[in-house]
Amino acid sequence: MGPLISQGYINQEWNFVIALLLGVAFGYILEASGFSSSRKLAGVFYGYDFVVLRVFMTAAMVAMIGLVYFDHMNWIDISKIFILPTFLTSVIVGGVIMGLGFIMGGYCPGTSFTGVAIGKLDAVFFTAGLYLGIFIFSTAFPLIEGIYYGGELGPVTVMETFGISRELFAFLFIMATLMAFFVVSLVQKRVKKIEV
Amino acid sequence: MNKTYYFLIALTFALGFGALFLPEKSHTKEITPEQLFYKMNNPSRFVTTDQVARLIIESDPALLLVDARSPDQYRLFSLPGAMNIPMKELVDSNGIICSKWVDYLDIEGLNVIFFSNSDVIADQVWVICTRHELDNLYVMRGGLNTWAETILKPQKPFESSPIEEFALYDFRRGACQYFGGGSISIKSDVVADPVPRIRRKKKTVVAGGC
Amino acid sequence: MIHAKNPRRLTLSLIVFVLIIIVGLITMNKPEFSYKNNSAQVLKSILNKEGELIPEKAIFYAEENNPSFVFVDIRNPYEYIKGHIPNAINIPLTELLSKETMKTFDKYVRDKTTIVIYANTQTEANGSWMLLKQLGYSDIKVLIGGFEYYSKELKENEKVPETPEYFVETPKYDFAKIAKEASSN
Repeated sequence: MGPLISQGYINQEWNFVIALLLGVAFGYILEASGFSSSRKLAGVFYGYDFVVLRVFMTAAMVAMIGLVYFDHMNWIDISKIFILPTFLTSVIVGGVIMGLGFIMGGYCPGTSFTGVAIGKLDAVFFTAGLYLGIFIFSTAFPLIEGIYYGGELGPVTVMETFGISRELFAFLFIMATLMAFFVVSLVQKRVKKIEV
Repeated sequence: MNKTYYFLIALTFALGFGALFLPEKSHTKEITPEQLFYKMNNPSRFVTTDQVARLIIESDPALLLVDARSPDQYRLFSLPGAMNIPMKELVDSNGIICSKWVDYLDIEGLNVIFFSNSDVIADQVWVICTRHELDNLYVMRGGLNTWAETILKPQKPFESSPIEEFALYDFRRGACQYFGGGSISIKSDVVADPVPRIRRKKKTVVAGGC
Repeated sequence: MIHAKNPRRLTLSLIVFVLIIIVGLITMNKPEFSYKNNSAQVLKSILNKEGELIPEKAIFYAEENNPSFVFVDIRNPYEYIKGHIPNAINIPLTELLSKETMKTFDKYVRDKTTIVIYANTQTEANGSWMLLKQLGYSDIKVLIGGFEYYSKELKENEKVPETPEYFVETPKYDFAKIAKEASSN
């Protein structure tokens, strides 16, 4: 079995329908976990609310365990999963820009839309800025093409680079995540509570 | 901290720990034995020498002829435009088809026809390649021995033979001239169907993104 | 905003997740057939010709009804009835991977009996022989020349030429010469 679409179990044309359904579910979960509030999101940088870290790390953890077990049960062929190629320079530069934007605006691209959906003014401005950024990037693309395609490593994974098994990496990642949750809860206790 | 959190931590930890003890799984590109058996039983994997001759004469762009014999034999004689993949050098020590061959064989829409002196070696190469997820592979029935008997030295049919036999004979004589470098024009509408061209189902990977 | 302050919902979903994995592990069906030999091993046994049985030996074993050899005719039953190697059993190609066939083969493996696959020609039997080889049957041979040569030999019983006819992969002609002749015609 799986990946369902690339293996031909589901028609290629269903891509958009599935994407829409997944998008609706994703948006609902984001909103339901309070990700439409910029103050809550920014809390991770100031140490009073770590819900962002907890949600995303839990998601990664669950997906990771699921993939490892499903691959073992022949439900999915993990070698057929698409891995995005790594462009080192653009990942670093992009990460810095995204982080700065996150601290300043209090949103990441996905959550800004949930903010717009419930009519938050700051989210609307953030989204407008997002489109402005896209416009600037597209127009200036020939200038920054070198950075964009710089440091290509191909579709590398941590397991391949360090030569460890997928299962071991999953285990180490889970351990690291649980440790992070613990540390974060200590930090949160010390910092003054801010009601969001 | 809530008590349920301890439970959750224990659960995730157990799952991650359990993953460590899952047995190793290999991810080689292979079809299952059942699929191999199914493809093996499909008689359309064999093509006749007449079909091959016709494809060469038409200079079919989607055709790749593969000579599975040794390089020595390949140098002495081979079909026009054929490439040489000696059976001995087909796979590496891990049992995977060498990537230098895969680059030629695994092209979408390409029909690969294996041949050898007879069809035994060609068929063995066919089985190995088919196991490794290569598609649109065929075997020339009878190999070069039959090629010599039918195309290079066509036998005149008996007087009482049906008209199709004579048409086939005409085609073969024409083909004989073609492969020998002669100049008889070829009447080529009676030979059996050309190789069925099956488009490979597009194997795209799912693109991810945030 | 329904901020989930109660971790019960989280626990519930995680338990469902764990249940899915447990159910999956329990119901996981082992594939019925899996390759035991990789292609390099198979290619090796092709090249050293250990899996080939020449017709002369086959005739000898069949006539003395040697118990350490069993001939398996993979042609269809009609051809089998028309003529087959003495004491050969008939397993039509389509039945090759059926449960009964596997049981039969396993019995032969236990008895250390060599299984000899044959059909009309070697090519016809080659796929089945290679498949079984890849599935891990080591003591399995293919009759070269096939039944066509076998039955012909029986009738004529003439002197064998230097390179016997059943080695079909030897070139019958000097191809380059014939090609030249064809052009001069």
